[in-house]
Amino acid sequence: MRVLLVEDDLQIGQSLMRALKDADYSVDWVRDGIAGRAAMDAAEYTVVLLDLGLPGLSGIELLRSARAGGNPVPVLILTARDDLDSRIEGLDIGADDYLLKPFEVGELLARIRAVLRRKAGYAVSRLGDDTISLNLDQRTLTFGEKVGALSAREFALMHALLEHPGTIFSRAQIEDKLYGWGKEVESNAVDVLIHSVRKKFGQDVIRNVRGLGWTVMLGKASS
Amino acid sequence: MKSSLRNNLAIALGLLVSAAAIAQGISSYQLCRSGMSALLDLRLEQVAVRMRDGLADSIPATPARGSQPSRDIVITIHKPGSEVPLRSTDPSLQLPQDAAAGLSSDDVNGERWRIYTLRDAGSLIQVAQRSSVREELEREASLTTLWPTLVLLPLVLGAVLLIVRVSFRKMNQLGNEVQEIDASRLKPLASAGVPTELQPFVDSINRMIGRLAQSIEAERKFIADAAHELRTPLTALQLQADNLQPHIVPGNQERFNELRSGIGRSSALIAQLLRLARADAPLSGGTIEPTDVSGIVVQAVSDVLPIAAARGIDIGAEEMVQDRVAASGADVAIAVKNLVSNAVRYTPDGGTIDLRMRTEGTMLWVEVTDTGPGIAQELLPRVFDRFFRANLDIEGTGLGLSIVRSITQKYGGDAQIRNRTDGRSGIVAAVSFPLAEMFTGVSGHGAGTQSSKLAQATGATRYLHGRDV
Repeated sequence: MRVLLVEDDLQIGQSLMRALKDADYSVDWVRDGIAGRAAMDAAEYTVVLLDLGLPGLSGIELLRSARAGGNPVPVLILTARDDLDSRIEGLDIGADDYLLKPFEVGELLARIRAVLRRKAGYAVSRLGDDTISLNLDQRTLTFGEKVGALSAREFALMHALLEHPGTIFSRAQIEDKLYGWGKEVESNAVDVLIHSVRKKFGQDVIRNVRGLGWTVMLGKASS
Repeated sequence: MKSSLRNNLAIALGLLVSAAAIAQGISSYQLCRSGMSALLDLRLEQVAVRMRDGLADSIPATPARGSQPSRDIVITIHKPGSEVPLRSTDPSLQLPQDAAAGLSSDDVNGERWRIYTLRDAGSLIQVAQRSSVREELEREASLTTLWPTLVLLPLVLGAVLLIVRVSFRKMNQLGNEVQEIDASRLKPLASAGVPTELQPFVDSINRMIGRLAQSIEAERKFIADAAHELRTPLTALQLQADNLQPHIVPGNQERFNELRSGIGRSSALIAQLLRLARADAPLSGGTIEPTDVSGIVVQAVSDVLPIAAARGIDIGAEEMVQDRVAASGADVAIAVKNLVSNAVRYTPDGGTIDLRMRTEGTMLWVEVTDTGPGIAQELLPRVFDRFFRANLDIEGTGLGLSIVRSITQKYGGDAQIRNRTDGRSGIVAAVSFPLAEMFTGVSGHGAGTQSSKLAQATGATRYLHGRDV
């Protein structure tokens, strides 16, 4: 897998080269925007790691010209600029992700993997992680040691929660997701549904956040 | 009382106009009276002259008594040496025969009379009129000359006030424009149509606006550059340490972790310093879109939930409201997250953290109540000071609450820290932002805050608030 690294800082570039090589990527490193554009035109890369503050041609301009030229290569922006405007701008003009410096090597590698997965368009057949996962084909939930089938409503509930693990959903939001907008829903419908999932998989499968709603947290099977 | 150019000018002009009107009135009254008096005198004289010419014979020798109106003139004709008048329109009136020739005034029968005396060889002709009648006639005629002044004076005064007001309208407009200038609205004043007297002020204010805008831009650029320059070497350091990790022998792993946590601490400090610099920087113009705070509160709880869950801390909301505030979503989020993460850091395992939203007047408050150790009362006034840390055992930069205060002050809100008063230990940390009242009619989907723009751009689902659970 071939990675293009566009980074003007010598030390960061050297360290990233080493880290990426350790992770078995082959890396081309260029230190300005012009060279970056030339490299992107000349070769096909699996992913481009792009600094924004580059001499010659800024990262934003480089990305814009690449996208205008129809180059679909996944681009991950690495930048020290954390103001919201430049983040929004970077994502709007076609970056696939945005990583703020300083970052850890582990997080960079994970983000690269995520970008590649998304780009490859894998049909997601599973939501969640090792501790809790929802099988989208078989409509089964795995929580710790327990595996079980879900009813249509239970599946819809767990799908909504596991699509954004860690996000707190209010009762009204869950009702909207399960029953559609503006439908009359019995006031305890969500409670009944959550109760039935908990009965199958234990109290901890869905976490109640007092006064706010419910959430599913990854990596919490043991607690 | 404050001196006001407009009022001073209006009062001075009003007094001047009134004084002129009074002087004019008095003089025209006096002139008219003396003119009238001369006219009446002339009439007496003319009547006397006509009597000499023989008209006296037409006066009846014995007039009907009491038939003559009081306003009429009285004519008396004597032959020389005779006490009884030859002819008289009013024989009861004994005019003094020794009166000087020509005009004179004398008291006769208890009344004052104006008398014209004409002597010649054969007769003494006297023509008289009551002084009171003459005065009445003079007064009546003179008073009518005051009418034009009385009518015109209020009109002129009104015109003066109107002219003064119109002349100062431009000045008031400028005053209002100047008042609206602040760091977030740096618009130069329009110099077209400004009176020359005000031009220097407008020019000077515009120059200052220009300089202020430049320095705000320079500060913004400095913060952005500083962010870049400070983070770049730290990034290199972080990556170098990460690359080193696989090569650290197990015996040194603990020391290596200390090194990494040191790097992490530096990163946190720089991030907080930059946040503080941004919070201190004035708002950079543009309109602030109203921000849904309940979404931010929920997000802040989501962020700390993994840590809270791992430490058995019960975090939840007591009361949520759906009002929106006039402040940038990113700033409100920084303030709320700071309070929530403080609460998590200071609350012991198994503790409780309550969030509460409430509106009070024009403000929306977010309160975070924890069951931590609280803060010694004497240290409370210092908690918002930069780099002040109430508890040195717990890691922190001492900048979080300074950032919170700077952000709330920027939008006209407030930040408060107090110990709980319900008998339990812990603090109540609260921030307030002004409600976006004028936007309350807008539907929930209109709340396009910057953070939600980011969420949309990253493909993440924005938290859509619903009713309380």
